[in-house]
Amino acid sequence: MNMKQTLTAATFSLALLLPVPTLCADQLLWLTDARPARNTPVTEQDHAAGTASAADEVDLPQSESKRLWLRRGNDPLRASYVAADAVAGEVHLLDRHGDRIPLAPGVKAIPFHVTMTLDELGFYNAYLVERKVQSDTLQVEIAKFEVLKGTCCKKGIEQEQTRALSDAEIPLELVREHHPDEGLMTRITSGDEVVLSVLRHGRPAAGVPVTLTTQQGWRSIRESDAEGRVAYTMLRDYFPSWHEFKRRHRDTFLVSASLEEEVGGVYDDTPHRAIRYTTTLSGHYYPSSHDYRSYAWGLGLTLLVAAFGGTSIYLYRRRRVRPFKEVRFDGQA
Amino acid sequence: MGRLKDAVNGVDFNRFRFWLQLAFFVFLVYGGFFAVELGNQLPTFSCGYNSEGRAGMCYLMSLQHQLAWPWPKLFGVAALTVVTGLGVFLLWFALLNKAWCGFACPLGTLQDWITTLRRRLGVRYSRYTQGQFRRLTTIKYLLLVLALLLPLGIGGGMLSKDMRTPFCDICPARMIIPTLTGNFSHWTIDFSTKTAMVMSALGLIVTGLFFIGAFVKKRFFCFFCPMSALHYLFSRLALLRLTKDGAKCTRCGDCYRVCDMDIREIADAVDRPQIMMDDCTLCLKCVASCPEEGALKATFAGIPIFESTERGFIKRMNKP
Repeated sequence: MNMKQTLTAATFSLALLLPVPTLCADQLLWLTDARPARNTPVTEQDHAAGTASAADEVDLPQSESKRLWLRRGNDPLRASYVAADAVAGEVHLLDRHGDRIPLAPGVKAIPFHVTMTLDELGFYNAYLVERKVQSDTLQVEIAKFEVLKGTCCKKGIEQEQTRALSDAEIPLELVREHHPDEGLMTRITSGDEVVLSVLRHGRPAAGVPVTLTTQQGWRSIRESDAEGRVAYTMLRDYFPSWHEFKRRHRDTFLVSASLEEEVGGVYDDTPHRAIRYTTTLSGHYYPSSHDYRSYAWGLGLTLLVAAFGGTSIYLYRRRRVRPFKEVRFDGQA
Repeated sequence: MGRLKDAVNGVDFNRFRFWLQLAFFVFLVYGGFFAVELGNQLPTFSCGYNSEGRAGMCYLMSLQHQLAWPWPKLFGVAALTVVTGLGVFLLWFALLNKAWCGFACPLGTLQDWITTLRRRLGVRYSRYTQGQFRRLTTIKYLLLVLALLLPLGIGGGMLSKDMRTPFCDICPARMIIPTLTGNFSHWTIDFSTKTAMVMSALGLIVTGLFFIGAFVKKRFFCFFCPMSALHYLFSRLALLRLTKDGAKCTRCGDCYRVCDMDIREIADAVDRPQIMMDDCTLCLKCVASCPEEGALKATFAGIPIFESTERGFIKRMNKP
């Protein structure tokens, strides 16, 4: 074992020995619409339906009632669901009219969750803000989730309904910029560019490191530019064998940004000498249609059918053409 | 009033029909760009996959979606939605009856334009024999039954959700109509599941056959169209009707010769006034080609709006 390996092993052992709260402090807090697994096995029907397993479903886009859960962890795949009694913050919903609607957590389920009723089609933002003082620093954790009430049937969707919302009262916020053609059923797919803005009380914040983590663990850290923007291309990380491929396979991505300020003060009778803001935004991405749709096969098949059909009809008609044969009637008969 | 009636009965019918079809075509395929929205229960192939341009949605698409709901939902309160949808469909349908096929259907209009192209190229057309006609005419009912039963099977958890709209999957309108507004995404085979692969491949095969068939046989696809079968089930409720006065018919056969659908009864049957058959598209070409005064009539709520006249026939025949 060389020096580097020894140091790595020692660091790892030390990390394991650290008290749990210290580990939790570095773990991101984020909201998601994916409900906790119910130990339901994936059935043949789930596969045939091309859906994710029943254990991983989210509320339907057109559903009026939506639920959000809270998770803690940096790994979207393994982050644990937060118990209801471990949450000190409050959740509110921002609609496109700028109204802030407080959301009461559900009391029955053990994992923390909130349920909301969405009257109008379009995007809403849900925020959970938690504050606590740790090691002389006021930790402000902001978990945000973009809630969408969508439909595939309604036409004439106003641009206002697909606008990305932001809340100027939130100290640090990540806003996913919506594509100009984005509708109420648009999905992010592998290969799409996701552009995010980092906002500090509604104003662009430059030079803030933003981390994007995909469900398979790919991580990228980029700094926001002068306009507070940062762009990622969603990578393709879904490679099942053909018979296991699900076009509605949904992976989760998690984006986070942190900012620390040397501002002293007192919070909840506890003094602090700095404030650290951590904001998160999660979302889902799906396989690109390029992974399972083929123009070459489609057009090839149509042309083959048309060419074969056309040739068959032509030959059939040619075969039925009888050569001219003169028939003479005997006038004397 | 008499002069107006004469003008209508003597109209250059082919030209009138061409322009009316073109107007419907533009309205249904591109109306959405002008904020036209007629709902999801139109009795014609205003294809739902033409998401931006459509002025309304084909009822078969919404009906199949609704029938694929889970059974507890479908046979619960949501049944009201299905009944309401059917009611709205019937209201639209009652207006034009099967003239939705003969005048409004974008896919039917495309077939008529392909027929015009064939005629200009000097290629002769094909007709079915009476035996073929009798056998093939049942296919649309079979397709309608499948289009209703397969979604029900999905709602019952017996079939793959990839067959949620089985007829739409194989309907050539899914490929052709969105293409007219620049959406080429349906000209693909979906390899994501075996069901999706088979259904998307079937759709493309049918589309290939659509172009070939429409080139040699007038209104080739209408013969197999389940919407036509659905129309016929409710045709007695419609206001627009085709009637025949058998006593005035000389069985000259002109009406049969111009019929795009090869319906023999239009010439042969002289004993019943309601002559519209299940394959009829109510294109009214038979009325325009009939030389007998009042033998064939199109009526709306019992009022004749277009009828065969000798003068109209001669005027149309003498047109260069």
